[in-house]
Amino acid sequence: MEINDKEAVEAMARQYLGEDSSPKAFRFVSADMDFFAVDYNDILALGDRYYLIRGVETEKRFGIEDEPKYWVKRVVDLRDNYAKKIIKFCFFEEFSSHIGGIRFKLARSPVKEARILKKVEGHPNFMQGRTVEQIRGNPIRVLDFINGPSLYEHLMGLHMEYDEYFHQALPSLLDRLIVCFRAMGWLHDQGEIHGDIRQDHILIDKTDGLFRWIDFDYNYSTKGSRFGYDMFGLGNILAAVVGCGSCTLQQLKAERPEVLARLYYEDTNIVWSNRVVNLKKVYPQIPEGLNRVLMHFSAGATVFYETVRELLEDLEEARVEM
Amino acid sequence: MGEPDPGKNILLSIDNSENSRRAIRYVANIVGSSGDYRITILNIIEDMGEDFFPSAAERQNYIEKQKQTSAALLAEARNIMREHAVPEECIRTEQVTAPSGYIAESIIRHAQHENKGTVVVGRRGISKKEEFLFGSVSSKIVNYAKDCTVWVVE
Repeated sequence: MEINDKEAVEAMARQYLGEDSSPKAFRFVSADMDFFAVDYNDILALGDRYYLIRGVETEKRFGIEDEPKYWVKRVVDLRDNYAKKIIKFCFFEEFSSHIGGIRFKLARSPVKEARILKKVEGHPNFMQGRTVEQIRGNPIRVLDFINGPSLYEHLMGLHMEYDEYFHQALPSLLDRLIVCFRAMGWLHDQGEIHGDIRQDHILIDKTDGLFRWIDFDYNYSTKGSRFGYDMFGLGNILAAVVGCGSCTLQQLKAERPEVLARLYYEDTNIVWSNRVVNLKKVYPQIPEGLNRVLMHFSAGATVFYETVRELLEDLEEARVEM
Repeated sequence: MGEPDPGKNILLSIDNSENSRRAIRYVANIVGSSGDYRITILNIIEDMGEDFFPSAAERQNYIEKQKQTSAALLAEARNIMREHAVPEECIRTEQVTAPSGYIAESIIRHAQHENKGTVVVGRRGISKKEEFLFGSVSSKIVNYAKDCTVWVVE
């Protein structure tokens, strides 16, 4: 880097931060550096750009303190009018996980996310970004920042009575969710999976209200069904949207014991037996058709949705009947 | 050797499970020394794809190891057949690589391509929730195989 360039970049960083908040000298770092060592207010040189590091993204876990993801940095692009970006450093890991007592292999793969980013370029229901290949072929991803809450945060922040939620918020949420599910079906048709479908992996963009899928670097190994684990995630999200948040047996025990007394094992989620999916027993307003869709994810189900297309056929029909 | 009756043209798909070994013995018992049957013993090598490996070399290394394990499995199956006096010329062994999540599809495709009238698999007996999350190879074969008989051995 030419010294003049460096000074110009530092000046831009100073202008962004303001003189009082700027360090005496900025540290310039590169993306092949250990991501743990890349720190707040460092300037990262990547490709033809310079990025000012503003912080580290966190993994939001339900009811647990946020966990920092040191390989994911919040930055501003110093050569693009301080546009907010997310930079994901190369971090590969393969490990064994378990769900409902079933063990399976998972991988966090930067290669997968880079591949999908290319495929979803221009698709409004997926996060957008580009990949900068580093030495040894490691893909560093520069993602557009999405300004808006996750679906989980949105539902938790509503604080409405259920009847009000059902009539005023649910129709619009369901419409946008259907579009978002259709996008996931499209991704599956491209031979890809999301790998970690959860309420906090959908962001609601404040600019247009669209639901956008984020964080598709996970892959899982399965012999029998390529899309089953993704379908499980979609079922959980649908139940959370219909129920204005996940409905647990613990909640019902504390708040509505008379409802809990009417529930059977078959009314709960097939994998997470503390979550209720037969939500019509909790909220009688829910139409029969919509509840039938949910029941495909229950412990009492005899038929499962194998594809998003199958799920959407029923869900769209149920939405029309609402 | 002429073409056997399609029902006697058997695809026996195996893996490294005890139920799979039971399936081998079951087929060997039925076939015996008659010489009327043609058996292809198939082992699918699961290719988890580039996402599960930090480099292409490590992926290739993994596949090579899987091929060796597969070859040992097929040799073991052939031995079991031999012990049951199944004529050597009636047996063929084959390795096929299939992407993760598409094992059943690969078995069905193989059966169709080779005009197999009977498909035999072992069943692990997984729980309903495991079948929901990660699928069942044997259930998928039962549901989707066409123009053949499916034997599921437990």
